[in-house]
Amino acid sequence: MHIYVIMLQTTLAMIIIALLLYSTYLYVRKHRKVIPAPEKFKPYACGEDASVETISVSSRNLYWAVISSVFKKLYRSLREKLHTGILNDWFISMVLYLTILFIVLVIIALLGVI
Amino acid sequence: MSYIIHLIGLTPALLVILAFALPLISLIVKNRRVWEVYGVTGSLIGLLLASLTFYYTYFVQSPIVYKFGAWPPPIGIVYEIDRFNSLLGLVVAGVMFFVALYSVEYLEREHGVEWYFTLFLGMEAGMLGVLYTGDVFNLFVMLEVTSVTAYGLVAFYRSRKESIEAALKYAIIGSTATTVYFIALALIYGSYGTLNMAQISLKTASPIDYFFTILYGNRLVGEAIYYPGLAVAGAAAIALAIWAFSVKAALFPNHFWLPDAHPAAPSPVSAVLSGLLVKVGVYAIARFTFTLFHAATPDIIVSNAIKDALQALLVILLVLGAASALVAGFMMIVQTDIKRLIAYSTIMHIGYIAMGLGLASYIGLQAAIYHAINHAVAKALLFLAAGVFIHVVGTRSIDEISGVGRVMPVTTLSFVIAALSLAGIPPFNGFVSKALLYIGFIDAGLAPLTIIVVLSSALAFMAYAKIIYGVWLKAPVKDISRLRDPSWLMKAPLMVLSITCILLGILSPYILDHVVNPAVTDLAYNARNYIVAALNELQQILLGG
Repeated sequence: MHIYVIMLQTTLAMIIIALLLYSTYLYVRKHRKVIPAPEKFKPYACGEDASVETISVSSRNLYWAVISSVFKKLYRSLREKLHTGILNDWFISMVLYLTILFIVLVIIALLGVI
Repeated sequence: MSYIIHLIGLTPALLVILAFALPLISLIVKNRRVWEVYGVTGSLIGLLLASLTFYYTYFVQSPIVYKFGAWPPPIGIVYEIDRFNSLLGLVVAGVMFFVALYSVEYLEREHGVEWYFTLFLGMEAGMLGVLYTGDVFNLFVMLEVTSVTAYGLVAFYRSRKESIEAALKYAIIGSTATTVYFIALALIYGSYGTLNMAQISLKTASPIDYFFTILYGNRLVGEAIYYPGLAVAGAAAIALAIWAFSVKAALFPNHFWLPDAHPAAPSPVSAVLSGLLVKVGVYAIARFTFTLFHAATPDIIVSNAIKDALQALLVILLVLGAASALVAGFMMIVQTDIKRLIAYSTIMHIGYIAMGLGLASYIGLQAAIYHAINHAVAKALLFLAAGVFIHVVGTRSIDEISGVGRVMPVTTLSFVIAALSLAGIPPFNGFVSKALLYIGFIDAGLAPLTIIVVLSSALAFMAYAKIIYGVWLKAPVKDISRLRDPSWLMKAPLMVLSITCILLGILSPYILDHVVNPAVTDLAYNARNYIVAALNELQQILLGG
C-alpha cells in the first residue's frame, strides 16, 4: 500500500476518533443534570486556606507514576546503575559495548578467514 | 561551472574563516548588533552554498569532487558530495540559519555573543566538513572541529556549575571517542593503504563487479583485498569506528553524555546539538557501513570475512537501536526538566534511525534517512519552542512553566506540532518515516520490532502530553499576565520549522520519490559512481589531463 494512502487513512481515522470523542464530551457536558456548586471546585485542605496553584499535582506524580511504580525494578537499574551521572559508571557500559563489538566483529572475521 | 565546484568545496573553509575573523572584528567593533548580524549572515552564506550544492548534485552532476590544493585523490584530500551528503548538508545549513536568527533575541541578556557566534559558525563548518569530506582522516579533523566547538557552546553559561560539569563530561567522552576513531584510522591505513573513502570502497568491492579496476590496472589506484589478515584488520577498524560514531550519535549505551550536555546549553545550542550534531554521527555510521563497506550490497564485497562481520554489525545496530528507543522512552516519562525530557527523546529517535540502518534494505534506509531529516527539523523546533518558555519564565521545570502556553499561542502551537510530529501522529512528517520503518520491519520478517517502536512512541507521547497538559491546561504557578509570544525574530523560525514539519508530512510521496530515494541510491547502491568520480581525477592526472 502506498505511503500516501496509509497516511490519509490514519489521519482520517484519528480525526474521526477525535471528533467522536469531542462530540461525546460536548453532549455529556450539555446534558449534565447536576450542575455542581462553585464550592465543589475549591480545594479542601482540612480547613486551611490553599490556592489551586500551590496544591496542583506535580508533573512527577501524574498518571505516569503508575508506570514508574509498575516498572520500579527497571527504573532502579536505569537510574541507580546506568544513569548515575558519574563518568566512571558510564565508561563501564561504554567500554563493555566496545569490547563486545570489537570481539564479535573480529572473531566473526577470523572465522570467515579460516 | 568549475567556479561553482570551488565555491561548494570551500563552504566549510569559508565558514571557518568567518568564525575565526569574528573575535578579531569584535576587538575593533564593540557593537553586539554587528556581531549578531555577522553571525546570522555567516549562517545565511552557509545556507546559500549548501543550497547550491544541493541543486548541483540533484540537477546537474552527482557526485561532485573538489580537490584541495588541486591534489588528486588518493594523494590529496578531496570533498566528495553526492545526493546523500548534499541533502543532509542542506538540512544542517537550513536549521543552523533559523537557529542563528532565533539566537539573536534569546541571548539578548547574555554577555559573550561574539564568542557564541564564533563557536556557532565553527560548529556549522565542522558539521558540513564531516558531511562533505571524501577522506576518512579529514573526517576525523572535522569531527574534532565540530566537537570542540560543541564543548565550548555547552559551557556557554560559564558561571553555572551544571554547564561546566556537563561540558567537561561531554569533552572527556567525546575525545575518548575521537581517539578510538583515530586508532581505527591507523588500522584502515595499515590494511588498506589509503585514507580516501572512494579508494577504500573500491578495495572492499569485488573487481568482477568493479571492472574499471582492471582498466586502471595499477596498485596506486587500488584493487580488491584478498589477504585474509587485512580483512580481520578491516573488521577491527569497522568495530572501532562504529563505536566512536555511536558516541557522537548518542546511540545506547554511548548516550550518557547527551541528557547532561543538551539541557545545560542555551536552548538554540540544544536545538543544534539534538537536531543536527547527533546526525553527524549517524551520517558517519551510514557512510562507513554502506558506501565504504557495501553492507546493503553484500554480493560485491570481496572478502567473506568482512561480509560476515558487517552482517553482525547490522544485527548489533538493530539491537542497540531497539534498546535506545526503549530506555529513552522509559526515561522520558519520569523527567521534570523540559530540556532533559526532550534530550532523552533524541536518544529514542537515534535508536529508530539505527534500526532503519540495521535493516540494510532499501526501505530501511529510506526510513532512516527520512527520519533523520524529520527528526532534525522537529527536534530543533521542539527545543526552540521550549526555549521560548524557558526564556520568558526563567526555569526548565515543567511544573513551573505551567499555564504559560495560554498567553503564548504561537509558541505553544509550534511545540504541539513538533511533539505530535516526533510522537508519529499523522499527517506530520514523523509519522511517514515511522510508517516506512514498520513496513521495513514487516518486509524483513522482523514484525516484533514494530512493537518496540510503537511502545516507545506511546511512552514519548505520554511524556509530551505531560508538557502540553502543563503549559496549556494547568493553572499557572507564576504571574503570567505580562507574558506574550516573543518577537518576530524568535517567532519566524518557529513558524517556518512548523510549516516544514507539516509539508514534510503532506508532501512525503513527492519528497520520497525525488529527494530521499536518490540519496538512498547514492548512499548504498551506487558505489560505482562514488568511486569513479573520485578516481577519474587521478586518471586525468596520470594521462596528462
